[in-house]
Amino acid sequence: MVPVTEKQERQIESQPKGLRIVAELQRQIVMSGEDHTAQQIGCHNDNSGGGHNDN
Amino acid sequence: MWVYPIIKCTDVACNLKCDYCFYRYMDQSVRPGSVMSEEVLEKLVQNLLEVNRAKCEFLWHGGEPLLAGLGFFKKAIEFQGRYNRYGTVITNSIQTNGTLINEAFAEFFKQNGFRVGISFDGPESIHDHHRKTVGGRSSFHSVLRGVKLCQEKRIPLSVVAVVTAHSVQFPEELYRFFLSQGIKSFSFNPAFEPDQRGQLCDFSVQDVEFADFMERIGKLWLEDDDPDVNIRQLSEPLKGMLGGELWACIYSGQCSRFLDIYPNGDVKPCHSFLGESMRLGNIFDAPLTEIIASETYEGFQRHVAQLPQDCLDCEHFTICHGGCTDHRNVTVGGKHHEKYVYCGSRKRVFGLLETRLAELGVPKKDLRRPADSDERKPESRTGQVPDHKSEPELIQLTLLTKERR
Repeated sequence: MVPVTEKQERQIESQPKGLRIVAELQRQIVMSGEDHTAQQIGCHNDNSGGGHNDN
Repeated sequence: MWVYPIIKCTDVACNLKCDYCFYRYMDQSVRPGSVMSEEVLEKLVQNLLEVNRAKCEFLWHGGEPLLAGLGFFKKAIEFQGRYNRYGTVITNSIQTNGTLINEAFAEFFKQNGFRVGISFDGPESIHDHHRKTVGGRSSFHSVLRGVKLCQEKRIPLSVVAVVTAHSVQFPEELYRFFLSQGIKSFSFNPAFEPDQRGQLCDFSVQDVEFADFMERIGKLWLEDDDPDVNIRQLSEPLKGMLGGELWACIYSGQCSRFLDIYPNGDVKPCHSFLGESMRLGNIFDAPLTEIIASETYEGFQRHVAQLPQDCLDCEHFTICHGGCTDHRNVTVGGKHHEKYVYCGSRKRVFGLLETRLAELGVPKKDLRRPADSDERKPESRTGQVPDHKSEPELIQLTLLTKERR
């Protein structure tokens, strides 16, 4: 995460919520440092990051 | 051409008996042949490192993969080192029910950089509603112990929670519970399962129920605005809207690259669809490089690429790609679902995110649209799956730029 100054913090607080999340996702995109986990598997059925029902 | 291996190293064997498991009708006991042998493991590692030369991710899966034992995973690491001839960046992830994680496993994961995914449905009463031991007892506390061991060792941890007809009533409780346990990466996967008569199982979640659930979660997430909290059903599409690369199989349209590898060396598409009928090959008959160049595999890719016209015309296509292949074009309980069964839920979430982005100064017209991507038509017409773009198309957020130091 990128640290922000006190002034910037006040600016963020005045915005609709969600700005920090968006900024972090932007940072990940720029860095191409996507944090892959087992969650890449998305189907309902494996509990392996994706599915719901095994394990 | 890369593939993402889902290594079912213990086949369907498991020490839990969750009543919603799609293996619930099968014998899930550990029996001869249900654990991948050293011979198969070695061959598999060799094959994968030939296919994925730049980067190779190993996802260890089951059943319950930890039933394979610590020695199995030590061997896997040994083989990865021995056969890494191209300087491949190797990563390991494991998806486990968490009950068998002990000090030794946790230390091993730590030492070898494993990312751990734990199947965990939430607070005790919700988790134990479906996830019980073979003997019908609670699994909650043994799962939580596994979570804590990983956290103590600072192992990258994510949680998958299955959302059922029961738990869908408790979005805020689930969200707050995970945060209270220090879990900041989780996914809510809706249960959608036909029974043996083709009727929808009672534990399944309807689209409209899941839409309400995810909308509530989405609002909580945005209001908390904690950038360290990652919820797949929200983070992934939001990242896509901002021009980032989609990786989850149910958003990326790349599910044909996710292949199941079985203890006997069989290679099959994701087990969630096409049943057991579609076998792509066996690594002892042909190397994986040949299997994924075969006509059988191309036919499978074409199957995955077949999408309803509504999806192709949808404004959200490039961040959805029609959802899970298994959960579209299905008939359950006499009702046919041409599109992804959770299409409505997705649209509700996308709408929520787009609205908030607009409030933050990013109008809808600037977000990723089908016209932005040249992957749409070729994929839908020919079944050819394009490689990921090397340069993400970033939305220029002047607001965010201004906020940065």
